[in-house]
Amino acid sequence: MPAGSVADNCGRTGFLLVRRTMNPLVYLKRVLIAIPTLLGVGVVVFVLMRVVPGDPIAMMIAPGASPQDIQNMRAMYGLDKSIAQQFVIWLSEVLQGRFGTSITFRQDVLTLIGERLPATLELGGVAMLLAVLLGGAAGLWSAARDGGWVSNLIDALVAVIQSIPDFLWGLMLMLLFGVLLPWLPISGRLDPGLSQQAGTGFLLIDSLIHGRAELVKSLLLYMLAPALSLALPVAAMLARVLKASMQEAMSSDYVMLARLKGMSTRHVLLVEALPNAVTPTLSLSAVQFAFILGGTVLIERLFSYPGIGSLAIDAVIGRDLPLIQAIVLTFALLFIAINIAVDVLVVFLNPRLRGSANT
Amino acid sequence: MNNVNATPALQISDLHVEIRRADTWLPILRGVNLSVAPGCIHALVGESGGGKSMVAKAATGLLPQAARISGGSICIDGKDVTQWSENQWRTLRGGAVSMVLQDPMTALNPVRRIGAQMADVLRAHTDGKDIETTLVGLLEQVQLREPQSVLKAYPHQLSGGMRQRVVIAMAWACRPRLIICDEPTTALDVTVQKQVLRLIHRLAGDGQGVLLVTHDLGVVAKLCRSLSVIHAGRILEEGSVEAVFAQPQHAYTRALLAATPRFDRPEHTLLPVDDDLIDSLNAQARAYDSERGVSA
Amino acid sequence: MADAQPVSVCLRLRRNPRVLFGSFVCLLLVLTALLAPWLAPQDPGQQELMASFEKPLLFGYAASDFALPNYWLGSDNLGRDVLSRLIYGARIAMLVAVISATLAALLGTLLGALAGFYGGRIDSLISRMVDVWMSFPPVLLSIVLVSVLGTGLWSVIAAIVIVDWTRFCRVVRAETQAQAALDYVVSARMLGMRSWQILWHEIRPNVMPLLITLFTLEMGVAIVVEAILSFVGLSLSSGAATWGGMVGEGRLYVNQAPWLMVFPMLLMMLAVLGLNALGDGLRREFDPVLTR
Repeated sequence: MPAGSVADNCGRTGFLLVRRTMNPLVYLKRVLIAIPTLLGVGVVVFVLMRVVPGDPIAMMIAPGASPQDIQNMRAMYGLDKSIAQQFVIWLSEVLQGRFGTSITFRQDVLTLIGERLPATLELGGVAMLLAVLLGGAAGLWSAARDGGWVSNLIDALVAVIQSIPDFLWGLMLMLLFGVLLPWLPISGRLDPGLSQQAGTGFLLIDSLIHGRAELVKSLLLYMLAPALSLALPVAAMLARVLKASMQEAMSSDYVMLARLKGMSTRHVLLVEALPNAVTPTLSLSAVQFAFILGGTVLIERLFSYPGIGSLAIDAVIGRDLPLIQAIVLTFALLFIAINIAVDVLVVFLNPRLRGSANT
Repeated sequence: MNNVNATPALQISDLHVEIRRADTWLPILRGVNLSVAPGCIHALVGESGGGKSMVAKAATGLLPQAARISGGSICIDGKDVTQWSENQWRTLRGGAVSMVLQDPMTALNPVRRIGAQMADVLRAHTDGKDIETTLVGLLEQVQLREPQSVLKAYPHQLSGGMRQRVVIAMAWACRPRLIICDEPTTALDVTVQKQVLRLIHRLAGDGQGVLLVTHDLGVVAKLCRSLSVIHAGRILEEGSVEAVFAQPQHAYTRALLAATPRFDRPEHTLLPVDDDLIDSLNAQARAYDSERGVSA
Repeated sequence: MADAQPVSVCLRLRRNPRVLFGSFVCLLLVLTALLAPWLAPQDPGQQELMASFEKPLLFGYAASDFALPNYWLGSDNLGRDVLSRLIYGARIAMLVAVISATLAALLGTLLGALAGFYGGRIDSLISRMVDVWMSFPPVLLSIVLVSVLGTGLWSVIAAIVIVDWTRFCRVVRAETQAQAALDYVVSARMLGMRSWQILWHEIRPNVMPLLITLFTLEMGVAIVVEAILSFVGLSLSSGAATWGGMVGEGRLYVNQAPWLMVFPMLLMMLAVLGLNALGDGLRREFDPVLTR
């Protein structure tokens, strides 16, 4: 039994217990704030596209059509009303889940996006995974060999890679694998010879679940070049941040104490320092995911990858208003969801912030 | 308990340590002699920058990269560890020699539970059986109530005093021959200081040698049997606490004692250590260096 | 960090390899842009249909016809000299880069400083704006803007500024907030200094180093965005020589004449690397605490 004199006050008797639950009200608040942001996005896009010179109807109308035909088409797309009226109509439609019909594709916009979104999400997911793995490994390696030539080399490479934007990486990889070393396909999502799995459109996940190896392999091969283009700059940034955090952790007192306990360097790096260094890096990665998704607009077009990104540019050029609006709203929704997820992640990872009512 | 003839827990003989500063080697420790007998709490006293922390680091093999041992020897429990490699040191640390750090706020890993951090040292140096029971026993020894809850807690959920007790428990866990306490109470509240000091005193009755590095002579008086006074990397005086406090031989020791507030003597005025004294001590250090042929 | 002596600062900068490399590249680009008419061996728009797809002389290929002028970096499908087009492309790139970065900096800094300094509702409003802005994929937004504004140099510049001002805004807001909480600002307020005076005299010098770094970064971004827009066909009219346009056209002939795509890409990469190195090096100089 503990000896100790009565006067021996060993600190507060009832110290705080760990509260596993996080305060849900905070997140509700964040979600509610997101709604006006979304609305703002909708308004901006709406107004912008209406201001655009160029008449979508005129672009797609067959030559020789009568003015009456043009007028009918206009009415069909609701383009004959005032901007304010159009916005109200559009908003009410959207809230009922109807996003209209694409002018260039002649398809229901929601279906169109539904078909293509999984491809983009898979691409973004794979790119993010690549970025975390590559960047994490590079950052960790550089931190472990801090001060040596390996570390300096990695740092230099990382600096160069980070400076080159995904667009240029896409071009380079396209040049590399399209012309010099034709190892990877640089166009499309899938080997046209293989049959697809009917279902959700998340081809990669579906084929993984069903264990169709050739399909998975083909999907991954086609995804590699675009995913790498998106991943490399992000990986470089993650490597830098991780290394800096690791350096800070390694110079801390608790690392010194761990050494004093006789723990090996591997233990110190991986068990003591890394969990502390990972938190800022991880929340940064989540934010980068939003940028990766944004980058798909160009990269998908470059590699002819059939996601929503590749729709976007042509939609703008073709003045396909319903489609553009839906695409932009989709991206905005994704960005906001990611930001909220990041906040949850940060609180979850840091034991100090759990059980606190503050954000 | 205090077997004078037994192997000293720590024996430092004529230790010289230099540190690299922009192409030259600057002497940090100049011929330090120090010994800590088992069961004895020995103080190392001096101002900041006098070399106390370097001695502590040398005794645990954690000298900074830029520093090197240029002469003398260090023996822990009879083993000469002066030229030991990192791998060899690792077998010793935690098991045969451990350290209590100054700031309990930063000494514990914020993202790991207390139990996990304490279990490390047991797993590394013992056979790993009955770890939970051992840990609970350790926490009870340092007088922490509700040891089960403490083990499951994270550091930020404990107060400063509680954290320092955990750090002390970790240092004592494997009954090391030598325990170094680097200013263990400086970062704590005064009321908590007293409890922690009492705790160290109690635990040290187990046959370990304790090296207490401090600048606080009050702590020395309460806790230690013997002390060494260090300045500019040289040991200026050493002996038993009673003898040194009653009859300080060196001017620096006298000055340190005079600079300590004495609340029992209201007429006593605080005297700072004289600048001239410091200058002469530094000059002596430089003379020592040139004698050895070391350029400063 | 108070106003350091410019001379001593320059001397210190000279030792920093990043700054050296970056400044060198920057200088090279600026000089090329300024001296384009004298540097370019030929008229960039001059079509020589008999001399299309000439291989670059620089790499040891022989000209197909000795009567032709020297195509050091080859010629494109219309017989236009690649080197000259690259040189004139540098002009456009630099012009766009400098003007966009300046305007974006002005707009972003102004809004950021207001948000950071006054806080409250102004801050909420501006922050909400930034949130909305950043919910758009930047590429998409710039393409939409250029469609709205039409093609041409100023549309491209406007697009870049409108899309990327948030970069400056966020950073300046954070920095201003931090500075405004410090004692020297509080005492300045108590001494009766007006807000704009405080902003200009007290806070600005502390925010400047950060701004300079962001500026060089923004220039790099501007070059890339211009390239993307040209690539997609939305920048200037297709006659003008822009790096992005050259890459876009070169892509069509990548199998027969890879140099058409490779050279503008290399130049773009050099420009971006140089600008980023400059910005990074400057930031390290002015903020020694940062290990990154």
